Amino acid sequence: MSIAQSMLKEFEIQAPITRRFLERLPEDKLMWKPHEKSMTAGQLAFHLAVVPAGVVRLVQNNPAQAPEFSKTDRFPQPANRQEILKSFDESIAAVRNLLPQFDDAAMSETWRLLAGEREVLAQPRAEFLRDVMLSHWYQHRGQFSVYLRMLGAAVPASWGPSADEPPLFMQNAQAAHVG
Amino acid sequence: MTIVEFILNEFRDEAPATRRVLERIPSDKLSWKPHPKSRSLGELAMHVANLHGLAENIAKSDEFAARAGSPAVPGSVQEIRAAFEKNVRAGEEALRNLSEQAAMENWKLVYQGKELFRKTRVAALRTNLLNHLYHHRGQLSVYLRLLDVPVPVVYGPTADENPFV
Repeated sequence: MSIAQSMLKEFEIQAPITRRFLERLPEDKLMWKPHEKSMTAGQLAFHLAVVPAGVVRLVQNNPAQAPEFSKTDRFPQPANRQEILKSFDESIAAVRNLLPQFDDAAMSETWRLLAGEREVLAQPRAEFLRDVMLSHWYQHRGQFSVYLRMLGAAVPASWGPSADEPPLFMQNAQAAHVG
Repeated sequence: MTIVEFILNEFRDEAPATRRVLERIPSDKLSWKPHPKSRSLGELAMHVANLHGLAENIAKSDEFAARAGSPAVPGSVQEIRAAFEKNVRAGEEALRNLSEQAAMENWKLVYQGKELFRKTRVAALRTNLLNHLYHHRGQLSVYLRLLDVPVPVVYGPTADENPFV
């Protein structure tokens, strides 16, 4: 299995779990935040939705130019949950389309990120995808789980059980048993 | 780079960010929790520290027997940090000595004598150790925020710190 295929396989397992987190966000809590310095629940959910596509598109060019964000458009506030889910589904499609186009040589080559003329990052493309498309995404999903908990929503199981749901391997076994 | 080297590098490169998060834990707030159903700050931080012990277990053993009962409650911040440092050192050493062949062999999770699942060592290191760790470290960052502690940089800027300027 190529590096891209193994990353895509992991993404295909995790994307439906992330979607379940996004679906649980109460429609009337998109402006809620746990602390004045925090992102709102809507901003954090939208960030989770758009990160995979944003990262996989960013690594298409080498070197790539770091996007210039102002404070407000870096973390846009979505209007409703539908907008979040639609963006997420587009994100999944972009990863499915673009990620497998990288062969192992492209994944191993040094990828550079520039801010203007200045180089801000230089690392193997696979490492950047691992860190920012996946690990950083998991970190935010973990943050979002605390948001859901504080909002009184049921927290989905992810890497293990949550206080509301058994681990996924048990859910799968139960589904197989029932089915 | 082999798969094991990739995992070892990631384990090593992520440790400083986790250390920064653990160093910020206020010693007088270990029993604080954001919600009645949540883990306390101390339980969550101890879980993050103990999770690193999986590196040595997965690399050297064929199985891990999960314990029943309540999560470990640390008595102090020192206890959390000592467990973290010990597990990081042991984990690095174990991963350095893990052969590619052993990495592709199965490791299983056992609970009360019953096998819950099995997967290759490399898959367990990826999922049950590393990815699982990022999830809980993210949760810890929200706990710190709620406790008015400046949140350190993990992957990018926080509302308090920016590595790029």
